[in-house]
Amino acid sequence: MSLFKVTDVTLELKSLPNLLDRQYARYTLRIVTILGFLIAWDLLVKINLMWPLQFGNMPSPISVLQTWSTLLTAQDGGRYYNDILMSLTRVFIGISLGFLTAVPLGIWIGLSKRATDTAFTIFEVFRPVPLIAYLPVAMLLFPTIEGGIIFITYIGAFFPILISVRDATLRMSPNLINAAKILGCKNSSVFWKVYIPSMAPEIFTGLVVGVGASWMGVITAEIMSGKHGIGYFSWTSYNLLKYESSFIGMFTIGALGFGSTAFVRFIERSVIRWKKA
Amino acid sequence: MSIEIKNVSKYFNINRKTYLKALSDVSMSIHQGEFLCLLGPSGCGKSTLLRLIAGIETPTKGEIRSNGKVLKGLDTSRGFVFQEYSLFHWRTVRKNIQFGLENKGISRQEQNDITDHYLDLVGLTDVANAYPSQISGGMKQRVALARALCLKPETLLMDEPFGALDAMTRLKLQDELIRVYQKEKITIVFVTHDVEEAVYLADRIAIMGARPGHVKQIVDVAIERPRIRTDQHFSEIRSDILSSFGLGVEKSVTEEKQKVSV
Repeated sequence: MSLFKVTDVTLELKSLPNLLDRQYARYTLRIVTILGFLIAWDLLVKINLMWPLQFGNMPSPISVLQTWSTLLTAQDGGRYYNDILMSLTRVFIGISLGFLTAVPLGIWIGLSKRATDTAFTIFEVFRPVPLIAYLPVAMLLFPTIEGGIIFITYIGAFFPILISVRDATLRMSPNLINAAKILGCKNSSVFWKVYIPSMAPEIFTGLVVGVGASWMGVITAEIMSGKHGIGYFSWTSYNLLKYESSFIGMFTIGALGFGSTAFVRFIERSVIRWKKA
Repeated sequence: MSIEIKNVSKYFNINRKTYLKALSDVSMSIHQGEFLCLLGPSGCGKSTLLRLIAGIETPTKGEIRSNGKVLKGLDTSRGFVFQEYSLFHWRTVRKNIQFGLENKGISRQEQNDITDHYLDLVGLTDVANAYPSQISGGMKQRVALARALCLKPETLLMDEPFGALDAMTRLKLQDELIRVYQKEKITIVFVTHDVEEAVYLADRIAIMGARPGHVKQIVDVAIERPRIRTDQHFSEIRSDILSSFGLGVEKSVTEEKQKVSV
């Protein structure tokens, strides 16, 4: 992947540095924008603005960054890292379970009218329910709080994957399946040798959406009922009036969400080397 | 393998009350080792007939026998080449050809050797590691051909395989197909709506009519290969077939007049 795309073959060479300059200018602008945002934030806190919004209550970006660096370098191991690890583990378990159940179910529902009328009917009842609304059910259903949190995380991952896999199955060319069978592929291996690889791109799309929803789920559950986790960290910090940590928690959640999506995209790129025709 | 088609009809449900008669009472036989073309306008059921022979569809009435046995479902004795290629887009050219061999449970070494042979046969050794999205339509159809051939099917069924290709590629692939056909000594059933293509390729042409689909007549093409498209005999057969469709474009004006006066 090059930095810029040259689409016009008659483009003169001397105009290339020009393009490059423009690219640098754009990156510079992005950095300046972020700096501008931080400065504006800092000013609003410094002048103690209380109307219409109460910026005066907020920690300044500098104190947030200072607290962050002490958290990151803390000698006592730090709850911060533990909480991150905890949330990551929950999301990972939720996504894995979601993936393992939603993919076969999605294919089954896509292939069978009976499955659409039975399993899918139930799913459609639950799918519009926002993740946070599952919390009472999760708490009642699971003997441990941990189980309930993972359940919410799982639900977040499950539906997006289910829907994209079902749609991909419906769009699947019947001739591709026929071709495989004529070439001696048994019914049992069609699943692994044709369905899964053929709709890998759609599975990944579902996975990316699922990862986002899963993070939403884990943070919600941690705030409501957790004892660990980055969502819990953020909320308790607020309650203990440690607003810097609360902000750090918020930005950390954003970074984790961004990072895990990037990770899924990275796996996608290394698994899918073909371009869909 | 000779194939007997006996009183085969195929109806498709359009809705609960209406059926579409795709094929009505078709009977014919396909001889071992021949090149048979199913020729007809769109909607004459030629592709349906081919899919019935493949086992992709099952007849509503009648039966199809292969070496005396009634056909049931798909199997590797009848290879199939689709018009829209139906390649496995996530596999390279080489892996596409190898797909069927993997299902056979033969050694990896043997798979590779056979794949190499067929890559060479269809002239794709250079692009063996390319993905289908990276190669031209003509190349894709060669992959589909090699993929079907490497399992050594007794019969190869081809559904308008060159229909989506440009005219020049099509002529080239017709020659290659004849070369492969003579080398592999298999039976080929080839669906087309192109009269010249049928006359160029086939030993026999089953001319089909529409509404409902049926076989109107079977024409023998007794011309030695390699055939020449401008040859007298070739033109005559083509004209006869065209006029059987009511398209006497090759007739001279005087012939037309004579016909009218008769």
